[in-house]
Amino acid sequence: MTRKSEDIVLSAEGLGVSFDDRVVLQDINVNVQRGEIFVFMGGGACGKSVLFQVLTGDVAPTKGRVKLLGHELRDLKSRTRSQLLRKVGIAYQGGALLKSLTVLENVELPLIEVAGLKRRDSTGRAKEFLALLGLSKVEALSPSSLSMSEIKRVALARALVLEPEVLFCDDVFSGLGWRLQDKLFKLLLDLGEGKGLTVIVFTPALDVAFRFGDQVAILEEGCVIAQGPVDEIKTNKDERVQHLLAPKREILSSRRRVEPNAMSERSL
Amino acid sequence: MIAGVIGALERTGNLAISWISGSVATFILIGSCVSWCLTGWLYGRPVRLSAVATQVVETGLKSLPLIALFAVSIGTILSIQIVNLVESSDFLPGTLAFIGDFSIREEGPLIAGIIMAARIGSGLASELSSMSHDKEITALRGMGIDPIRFLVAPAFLALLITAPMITLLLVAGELLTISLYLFFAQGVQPIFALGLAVDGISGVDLSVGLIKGLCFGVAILGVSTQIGLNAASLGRRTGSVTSFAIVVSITAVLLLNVSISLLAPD
Repeated sequence: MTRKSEDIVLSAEGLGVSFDDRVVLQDINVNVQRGEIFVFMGGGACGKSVLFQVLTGDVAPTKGRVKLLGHELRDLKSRTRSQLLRKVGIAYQGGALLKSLTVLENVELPLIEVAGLKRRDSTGRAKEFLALLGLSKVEALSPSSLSMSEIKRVALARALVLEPEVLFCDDVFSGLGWRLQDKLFKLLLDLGEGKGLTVIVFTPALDVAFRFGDQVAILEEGCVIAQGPVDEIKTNKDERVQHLLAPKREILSSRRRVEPNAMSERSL
Repeated sequence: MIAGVIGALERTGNLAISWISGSVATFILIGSCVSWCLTGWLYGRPVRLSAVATQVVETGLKSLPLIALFAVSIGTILSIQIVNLVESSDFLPGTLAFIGDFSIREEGPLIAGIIMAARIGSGLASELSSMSHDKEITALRGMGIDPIRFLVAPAFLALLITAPMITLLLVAGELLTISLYLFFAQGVQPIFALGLAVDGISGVDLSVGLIKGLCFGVAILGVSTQIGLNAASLGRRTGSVTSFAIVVSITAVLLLNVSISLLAPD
């Protein structure tokens, strides 16, 4: 089936990254369609973090090109880049929260500094998102006093508060427990319902990829070795994919999907 | 032997290139700060005044105890020398006028520069380096927030106020200490001694001293920010970044001091 070009929110063509003589990524070709959950899955040193940096515009590729929401990242002027980034939410591995600010101030930051809201308007909105993610009790705390689960949820709240079209999540869901993962993905689906929120997840966790992904790309040694819907990946005959999936058969057989259901559960 | 010489030349060349590229990057960074301060409000992204106020407290008010300590200690050392000199030459007015001139023009700004490098430069470099390692800088960029506007421009604006003030307060503290020492050691009236020292300071001397303080402050900010922001990519740890920032800042202060002294009118 041919997809309309406006349905493709992110595309990478012939992407390659080298640091000095070391090839980190090579020949990456992916298209991410609007509204889908696309998961990049791979173990340690597979090039996942570098690919995340390239797709979010933090590192320039050595070869190939990346188009995000119709803009080629390489050619962006700083003003267009700022405007583009208003439509993109990024939740970083480890949170990357500003430790000099409280949890509430961290979530308010994009509202004040990017959307230009006054503090009296931004506070209510930020508190609403913190409540959705079950973080109301910690809003006055410093990020350094939070647990990793709370840090990841604050990072998610900060990434979502501007209601982005595309959400990048770098290893945000792994290690959270299935119940919390279910609730977070349900929340994402609720928030994205009707708005076509596209979620791009980078994770080493096979369970996250197979339980929540619409499309999965498996990375190994800087290359995408398999890509497609979850069912296709499961039946992929490639030896490397089979080797990767072998210890995880029980996860594949217990794949559960969460469905959106209009904010019935207001907090986690 | 030849390989050793070639290796040494290569290392020297690489060092020169890194110094030149670092200097150019520092100038660009300072230019970016100036640009955000002047034009940020045009784009609806002004430099945050609350952050400037915080930085005035951090870089200025919190430096006061250290400035007082330096002023009293240097003032006392100078007083001992003045007493020895006056006892042998009996030429108090000329000596105090020279001390006033020397303090505001040369010694005061230089010591103020070293205080700023140790306190403000190291603080800025370690904070930015830690933020860089924790990907806080990357996160700011990812949100479309320029870290220079958000983190560095407030410190830049604050230093425009506090750097000349630090210089002025240091010199004032030194001259006051000298006046009090002379009163207790020689019975010279403090107001009279202070007047003699201030008489030695011309408008040009005062301007040169304040301009030096300002230039040192801006240079320290540029150097420390540059080192702090690039800490993660250079693979440096926060402790090493801090000491490196102090060394480079003091070197920049010394070079600037000589350059301004050579160029400034008498």
